[in-house]
Formats: sequence, C-alpha cells, structure tokens
Amino acid sequence: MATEVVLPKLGLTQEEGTIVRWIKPEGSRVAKGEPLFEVLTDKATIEVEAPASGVLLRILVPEGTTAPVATPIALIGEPGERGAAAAPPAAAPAATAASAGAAAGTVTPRDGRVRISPRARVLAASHGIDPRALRGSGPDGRIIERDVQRVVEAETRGTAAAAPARSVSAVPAAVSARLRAVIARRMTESLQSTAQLTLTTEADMVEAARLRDEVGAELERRGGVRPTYTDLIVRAAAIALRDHPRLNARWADGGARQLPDIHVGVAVALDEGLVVPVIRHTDRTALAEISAALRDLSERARTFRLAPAEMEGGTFTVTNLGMYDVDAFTPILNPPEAAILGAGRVHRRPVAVGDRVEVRPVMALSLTFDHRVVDGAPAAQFLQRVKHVLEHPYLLLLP
Amino acid sequence: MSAAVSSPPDLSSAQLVDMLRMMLRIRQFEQRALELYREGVMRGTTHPYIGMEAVAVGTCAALRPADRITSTHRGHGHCLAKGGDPRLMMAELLGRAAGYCKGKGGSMHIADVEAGILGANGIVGGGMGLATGAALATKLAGRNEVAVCFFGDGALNQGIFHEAANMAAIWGLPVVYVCENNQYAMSARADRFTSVPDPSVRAGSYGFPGLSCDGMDALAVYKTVGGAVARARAGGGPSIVVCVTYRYLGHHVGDPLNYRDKAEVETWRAKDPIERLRAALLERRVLTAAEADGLRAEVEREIDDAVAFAKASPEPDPSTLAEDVYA
Amino acid sequence: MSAVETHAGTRVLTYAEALNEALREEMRRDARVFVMGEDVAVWGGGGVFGVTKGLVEEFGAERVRDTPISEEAIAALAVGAAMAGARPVAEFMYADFMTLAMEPVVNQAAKIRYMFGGKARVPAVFRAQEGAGRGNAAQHSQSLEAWFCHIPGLKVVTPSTPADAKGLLVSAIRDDNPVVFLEHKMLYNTKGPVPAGEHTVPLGVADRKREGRHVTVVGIHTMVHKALQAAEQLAAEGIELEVIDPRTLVPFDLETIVASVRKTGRLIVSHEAYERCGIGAEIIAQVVAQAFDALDAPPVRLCAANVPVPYAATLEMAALPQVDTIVAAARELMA
Repeated sequence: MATEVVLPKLGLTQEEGTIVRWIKPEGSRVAKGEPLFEVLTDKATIEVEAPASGVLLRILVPEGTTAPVATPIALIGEPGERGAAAAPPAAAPAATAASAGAAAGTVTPRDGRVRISPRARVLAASHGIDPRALRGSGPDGRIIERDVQRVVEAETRGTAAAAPARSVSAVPAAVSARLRAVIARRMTESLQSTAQLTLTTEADMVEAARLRDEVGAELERRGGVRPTYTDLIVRAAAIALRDHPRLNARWADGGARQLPDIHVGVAVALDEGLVVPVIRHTDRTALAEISAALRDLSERARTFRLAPAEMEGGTFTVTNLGMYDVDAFTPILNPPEAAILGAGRVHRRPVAVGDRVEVRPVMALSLTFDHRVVDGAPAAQFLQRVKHVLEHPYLLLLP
Repeated sequence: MSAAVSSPPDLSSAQLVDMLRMMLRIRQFEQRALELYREGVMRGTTHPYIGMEAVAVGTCAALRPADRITSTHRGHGHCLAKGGDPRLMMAELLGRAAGYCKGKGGSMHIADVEAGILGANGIVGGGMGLATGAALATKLAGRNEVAVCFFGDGALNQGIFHEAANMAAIWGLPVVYVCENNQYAMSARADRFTSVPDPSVRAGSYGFPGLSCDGMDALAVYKTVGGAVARARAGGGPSIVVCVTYRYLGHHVGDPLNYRDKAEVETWRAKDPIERLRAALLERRVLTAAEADGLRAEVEREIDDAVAFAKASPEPDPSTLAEDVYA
Repeated sequence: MSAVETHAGTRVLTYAEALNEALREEMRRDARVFVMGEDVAVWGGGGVFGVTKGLVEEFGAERVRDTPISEEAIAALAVGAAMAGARPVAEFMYADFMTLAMEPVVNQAAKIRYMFGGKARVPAVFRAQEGAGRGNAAQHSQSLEAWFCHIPGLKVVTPSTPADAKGLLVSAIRDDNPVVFLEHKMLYNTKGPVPAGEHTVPLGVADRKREGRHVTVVGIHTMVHKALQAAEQLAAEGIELEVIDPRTLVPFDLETIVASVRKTGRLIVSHEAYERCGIGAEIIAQVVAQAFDALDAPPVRLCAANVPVPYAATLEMAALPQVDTIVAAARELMA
C-alpha cells in the first residue's frame, strides 16, 4: 500500500500550513530523506523530506493551498498502489488539532512513539521542529542530532538561497495573500475591540545622537556594529516599562492584567507585510545585545526564517517609521498588547532652548494605548519617561 | 624467646576493691541492658556477659591505660573493664547521638580508641588480626605497650587465629590472646567442635606459651594473664591464655537454649565470680560486708544514672547519615 | 634506577620506578609509614615487580617486612596497626589474592570509622596489581575494582601512567582513609614522564588524556592506552575520541565526564574487568542520570567477556577488549 505524506506540525502552536512548493514533481521517483516540499507555517518556510522511497504517485494538495496539520498531502508508492484515502480532502482552513497517532508520518514509530535520541529531541524542540516530520539516520531509523541539524541548516540554506529572489513576484501569491489576510484580520480586530488613542511628544535627541556615535565607535572597534535609533528606543521603552509596569499589560478576563516580564517586539516591514519579532526580557538585555539581536531578527524576518517562538509572547511593541520621514503617527495596537510606541524621524529643526533659538535634532514619539487597561495620565507619564531616558541616554547603559 | 611466664605485681587493697566494683558494674550493666531490651527501648540484640566478669576484670587489672584491647560481640564487659564510660555505652546501646559511636555502631561496635578499646567486633575472630597489628605498630614505634585480644572458643577455629598467631610468633609481637572458653559457640559445644580438649595446647604449634586458668576466679585470671602481659611487655613475645568460664544466659537475647540443661547452668552459678571475689576480700579483711553492700549500692546508682542519661539523650538526626564515612 | 633527564624537572621513569619513588619518599618523610607483604623485601632485590626495590636496604627489615602467605592477616594487621598510630602500606601480590583478605578490608577497615562514630581512623593502603594479557590464566588475571568500589568507607585508585602512579600513591599514603590502590601488571614496565621533586595527584580528580569532539571514551588502566591508540587511528578518518582517565574510582569525578558527554553526545566506557556489574555500569548509570538529554546514542561498554580469563593467547585476546574493539565501536557510533 502507498505511504501517505501528511502536513507536518512544525511549530508549537501551528495548526495549519501552506504548501509553498513541491520540490519533486508528481510521477517522479523520490528517495526517503530527499527534500520533497516546502511548507509555510505562521511565518516560516521549512523544507520537508520524503518519508519513504518510491514514486510520488499523487500530489493531493497543490502549491499555494493551506491545509490543517496532519492532512494527507501526497502519496508515495509503487505504480498501481493506492493510498488509504480515496479522494483528497478539501483544503479548508479549519482549525484541526494534529492527531497524535499520525501513522503515515515520516518516521515509522514503534508503539506509536518516535525513536529519537534525547539530544536530538532537545535540539528539535528548541527549533520548534516536530520530530515526526523528521527522518532518522541512526540505528533502526532513530532520529539523531545530525538529522535535526540537517533540517535546521536546510531551512537556513534553502531560504537564504531563495532570499535574493524573494521579491513580491517570487513569493507565491498565495503566501502574500495569506499574510495580508492575517494582517487585515488583526488590525481590524485591534481597532474594533480596544479603546485606543494616541499621545505624542517630542524628544531632544542631541545627547542620544552623541551616545549612539560614541557607543557605536567602541562597538565597531570590538568588531561589532553601530546601534540604530530603533535600538535605543527599544531599550528606552523597556526601562520605562520597568518604571511604569501598568503599560506592560493586557486586557484579559474582563480586567487589566499586568504581565510579570517585559518582552518588547519590533515591527519589521516586509514586502509582503508586517512581522513583529520579540526580544525577550528586554529590560535585562544590554543595549549592545539588543542591537545585535534586532539586527539578526530583522534579517531573518525578511527572509522568512524566524521561528514561531521568536514571534510570540511580546508584551509591548515599538514601530519606527522615521526612515520614511514620518513624524508623529497613530500606530495601531498589536493585540493583545496594551500599548505601542511609534517613533518618527530624527531631524534637525529650530527649537527654543531657554530664550534662544537653536537648531537641534528632535524626534516625535507617538504612544497608542488601550484606555480599557490604563488611563491617559499614567500613559503620559510613561511616554514622558521614555522621552527623559532618550534625553539622558546614559540611562540606556545602566542595567 | 623464653618459655617461662613471669608474674604480675601484687594487687593492692585499692586495686582489689576496684576489681570487685568493676565486676559489680558489669553485672548490673548487663542486667539493666536486658531490662531495656525487654522494655522495647533497645533494638537489634545484645549478648550478655553475665557470669564471665572475672575474665575481663582480671585481665584489665593487669593492663595500663596505653595498652590496647580488642573485644568481641559479647563486649560490654571488656569495654567497661578497660575504662569505658557506662553512660556513653548505655546511650550507644539505645542508639542515641550521645553514645560512644554517635548511635551508628550499637552494642557490637562500641569503641573508645583513646582509651585503648579498639572496638567490640561483630565478626568472630575479627579482633584477632587487629590486636596483632596494634602490637606490631607499638613494636615498630618502640613503645612499651601490650595488646590483648579477647576471643571466644568459637574463634579458635577461624583461619585468622592461625595466621595472626603465626605472625605474632615469628615477629615476637607483644600480644596476649585471651580465650574466654565459655564452652559454647552459640549451640556448638567446645568439646565437640575443637579438635583438642584443651585449646591452650594449640600455642605449641606456634612455639609460644599456652596457659589455662579458672575463668570464674578473677585473681587467678589476673595472675595468669598478668604474667603473660608482663612477659610480652618485657619483649618475650605472645602467649595464649585460655580462661574456662561460663555464660549464665543465652548467646543472645532470644536464644532458645535447648542445647544446654539447667542443671549445668546451676553448677556454674554456684561458682559465681562476684561472690567468689567478695568472699576473698572479706576473708582478707580488705572489705567488711557492709562496705561490700555499699559497693553494690554505689554501682546501682551509677548504672541508674547511666540509663537515665541514655534515655534522656536525643536520637541521631538523619542529616548525620553520611557523616564519618571518610576522614 | 634508569631515570633519563628529559628537560629540567621531569624524568622518564617506569610505572614500577615511579611507585618505588613514592614509597621511598613517603617513608623518608614519615617514620610511621611501613611496608609489608609477601616477598617485598628479599625477592629479586625488592618485590615481584620491583616496586619495593632497594627499600629494605634503606629502611631495614622492620619497616620493609616480608610476611608469610597469610592474606587475611596481612590485611587485618594493617588495620590494627593503622588504628594504633602506624601508616601501613600492605601489598597483595595479585588482586585475586585479596579475596582472602576481604573480611578485614570490607568489614573492618571500611567500617571502623563510621561504626565508631568518627572517633577512629584507618590510614592504611592496600596495594595490589590487576589485569590480564600475559597468559597468567583465570586466578591471576582478574580486575576486581568493582568489589571495592561497592563498599562505603573505602577509596579506590587505579593509575594508568607512571606520573599518576607516583602522585596518587603519595596521596593515598597521606590519606587518613583506607585506600585500595590497584596497579596493573602490564603497566609496570611502561615508561612516562614524572615530575621531579614532590609530586602529588589528588584523589578524586579525573584526567583528560586526549581532547576530541566526537566520542567520549572513559578507560581504566590498560584501556586508557588502548583508547589512545584507537584515537590515533581514528583521527585519520576524521573521528575524534576524547579519552578520559578517571584515575580514582572512589571518590569519582563525575563532573569531568559529564562535561565531556555534553560536548560529544556519545560515551564509551572500557575496562578489563568482566562486563557484568563492572564499574562501567556504575559510571554509565551516573552519566545517564545527570546528562540524559545530552546523549545522542546509548552509552556503550567495552569490557572483558563474562568468562574466567583463559590461558591460550587467542582466547585471552578474544576475551579482553582491544584497540580494534574501541575503533569499531566508535565507528559504529559515528555511522
């Protein structure tokens, strides 16, 4: 009987995936372990190997289609064999929980369990990879460390190799459409279900500019890179959240719930849409580390190489449109967060300093907050603190 | 090596009184230990020395504080006679932290190395090599000390007896092997399980003196063992002294005693060593009857105090479990 | 002594010479130290393997004492002497003969300190030699360290090089606990650098004899050397063995081995003792308990077959783990 290939669960909360590309065409001979297809999960594309050797008899779910996890998507066997399911299921985006006993998984489990070494299991978990999607090259088909490493590297290689070609046209329309749909849904939901409004202020950035230069020079001397204004703003926001924990909150179960840890997400613009990678424990992360992390996360976000875990768990968002010459604006809350800080351009203009007029670099800060969770005065105090930290940027360097 | 055994010094009146007191102490200690066992306060088992007091006391009267003894599973008498503290011993029997061994040894492993008591021993013959080794150490260090190994008729037939005796002989070690022949090794009668009727002749195999004495007579034990000790201390090498004695009670608490008859026990009780010494001291006018009774009362109070001390002492804390495994 | 000056401060000595030096230096340093055993003084100038060579000439027959063939008494006297203030080093010609000495070692030496509530100590060293490979057959070829490791109160040492042998014997003699010091008959004539002057190796510290990234190999005695040979061979194939010599089995340096396994993910334990219930089982149990998640493959034991050591060369070779055994196992782990 033919082997069913099912859509694998490759992320902790993943419920469905989109087939991005069938690497092998229908009718071709495939070898167990050979790359067979690419699937897009929430926002990452992963290459999956053939679970068996044989002929790719039928592709049940074509490219661009979204299906629930564990859906049979292809059949591998010898010509003339049939699969267990006579007809392909409708690829309706129903929220189906993955069945635990996926018999036609890529690893033949004994007693329904996956044979995997402890080391490999830990590695797979840390990358959000479901062991059932892996093929084992160890004794008796046990999944071992290198099997997981290969998948991790393939993700990097495959998507990195494809990245230069990943313009809007190269990404299948289906992927763009999917991301668009997610953004549309979330933005509408945010505006309709929260009581959000925006406060603005302006920060004098002369000290921040100097610190950025001096810190940047030192980091470059050490082989690193200069921090961006976004890095400074993220650190300032984290410090201010520590001082004003009511802004590090959400609306839940009919009440305002403060969150114990601070995880600031940063909006990254992709051609296809918006993603928000998160820096965990931002208040405990030094400026240089924030800078390095953001650089890495942004790059991977743009090439769809973020792990689902890296986009979850945020408690506050920073969004910077300064590079597009925007000053103040009204960012939309990133649900379920209670606040989002928008930054404008750093630009030189005349300002009053005492009784004199000077030309100084200034930057608009726009704080949108959910009035259900926190009132205007505390929100304003938070914003004031952010401004203060940026204007006294040595505070960014203290733990 | 001279075959002759010298004589120990004469005992003073004070020493004689001490001997009687010590025998009373041992007897009372053992009786109280049995009571505690029946009360359910003591665990494991105990091996009563009752009836054999003359051997421990007669021997230790001939020893100096720096001399060493190894004892047996039936060791309370030896430990007390060599200067062991009844309170610390009683606390150890009750498994308390204040006991000699912090509650970790119990009846069969009571020791006070500082006082020269290298331990009671749960292995029959276990002390034989240890005492011989102690004698070796003192000889190497040029110290004028003697080691005494108490052992029973049962240990006569352990291989270590042969090995240790041979080594002591070839090296002329200052050790005296005191055999407490109480006729029985559990149910094994000495006269059936030892190849010779008089075990002291085995010394001949090693070329050192083998002596016998009445183990129910403290003064006889003192004279015989004391002589062997003096010889060893003078560099004359090892000896074996077999003291013929009897344990009135079983091997341990709960012994069915179906291998002995009551009549035999009575014949030995008639030779009771404490009565014997008491009578001898009264006859020599070392003590009056009233003073002898006074001794008994004094010892009773002492043992009462030891029991009270033991009962009032706390049990060891489980957190001390792994302490003292290594130095 | 055939000592060769290599560079300032280090000489090349044989394992036996290194042990001899340890005994000599400690006997000079502390008058309480004495040696006893069968044929330690007279035979061939000092010991069946030359470990006690020349000692009786320097220290006299009292302190370097030949004994009758009485293993139980040798051990028992050592315990008693240690309790009475001496620091004996008792020698057993073959570890196999320690079977006769088990009572004083196990029931007395190991337990006296604990049973007596910490108020006594037994600073005795029991030396013996283990091992096969010379056609000495079943009763003269055993490795019995597992028995002694099993008994709380004993320390157990198994040096594999001359430097370790000297350093560890010095530490064992100075230790106030009973130490079972196990040498290996096939190592006595092996040579190695030994630092000049006072040289001690602490008990309970393992030694990484070779660094590698792929497979951790824990070896004892001759298996350390066989593992190093296997490592040389495998390096050419791109497989790197990390060879660790525990040196002391009790107390055991688990940390060093766990750190290595966290790096490599693969563990081989190899000893000449019979596989069943050998020390390899204990080491693996401890590593798995500590570092299960680091393992990429089940740990492997390469030990002697569960048969009495045979006499004929082909059979003896087949019964013991060899360099090839290690090479094959490592290749399989990396396949």
